[in-house]
Amino acid sequence: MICYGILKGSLKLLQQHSKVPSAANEGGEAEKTVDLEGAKGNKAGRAKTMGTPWWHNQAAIYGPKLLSFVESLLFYKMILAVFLFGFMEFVISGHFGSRKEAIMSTAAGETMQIFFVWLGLSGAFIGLPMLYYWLYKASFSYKKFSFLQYTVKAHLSIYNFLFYPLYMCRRLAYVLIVWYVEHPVFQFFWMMVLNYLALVYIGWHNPLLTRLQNWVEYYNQLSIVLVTLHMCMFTDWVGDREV
Amino acid sequence: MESIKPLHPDSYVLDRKVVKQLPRTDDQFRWNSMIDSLVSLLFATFIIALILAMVFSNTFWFTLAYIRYLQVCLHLPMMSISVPANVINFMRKTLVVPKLDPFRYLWRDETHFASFDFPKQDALRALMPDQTEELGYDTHNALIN
Repeated sequence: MICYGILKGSLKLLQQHSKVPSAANEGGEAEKTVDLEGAKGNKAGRAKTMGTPWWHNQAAIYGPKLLSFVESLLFYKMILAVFLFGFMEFVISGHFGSRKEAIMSTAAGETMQIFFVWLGLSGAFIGLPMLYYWLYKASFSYKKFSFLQYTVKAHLSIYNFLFYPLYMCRRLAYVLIVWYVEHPVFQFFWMMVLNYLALVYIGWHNPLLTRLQNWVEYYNQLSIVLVTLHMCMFTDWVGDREV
Repeated sequence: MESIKPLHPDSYVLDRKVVKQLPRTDDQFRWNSMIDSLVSLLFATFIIALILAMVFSNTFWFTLAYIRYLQVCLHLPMMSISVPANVINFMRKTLVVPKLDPFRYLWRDETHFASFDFPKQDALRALMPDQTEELGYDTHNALIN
């Protein structure tokens, strides 16, 4: 529910403020200056930005600073890549590591482990979407997103822009289904629903840059559907016991 | 239906013979060695594909796409559908690739600087689903897993 709320809210906000960039995008620059003036206390600027939420201005001020700071980090692309592609492991290990019995331990390695668990979980659930949103609000140019928009044609549609957040939500839903749906039939059902939704998303919006990449993505998704279907072979759906 | 005699409200006597367990033969060891060779073959193709991708397309995109979808496929045994041992053995060995963790077993070294409460974590394994444990999440330790 929390994820749904965050997604819905961010979708609304992004739809309010999203601008489709053109070759000569002066509108974005103009809006940026207006925001900065409004944040500094200029009355005219404040009047212009009356309807905008407060974090719009904050993002316009601190976003570029954050961006330059993040870009100055060594291997920051690698760090983001590890956060994105190890997201599922962060969630699973974090879930098991954050259990009460494990936390009460006094061994030196495990206190370090607790620190990394909460760092990873907060980074995956809060930090990365926040960074994503702030970069989006701050730059108004779609070239600076580097890894978070890696091969995604985010300038065309908000749904393309949400490729990586949806990717994270899909993994999260996967893990939640595995843990909190007990009966294998319903697990299988929700897993297939999840797979088909991902399939529809990729087939409908074609979020990636080239046709080849979209086809590879679609093929991968189809292969996941096939592998999931093969899980049926290990259930009582196969009547013969000696197979 | 008469052949099913309830001893207890939650238990029933089987009405058919249980299938015999296979005798322990060399085939099982052959299976294990086959899985090992398959996994090493997979690693080899993975590294070759990585090099080819870097040389010809100058991007990691295909490698990353491969990793992220392999991740979804290989975590399927976490569901409560019981999977045969050879499948889960194969999946445990290939999960090292999408977990980006080829040096996992180095953490088991007792000379490591940090101390871990392994006996307690072994006791906590009772709380973890068996197939999840088999996949490699065999402790509550996020650094090792």
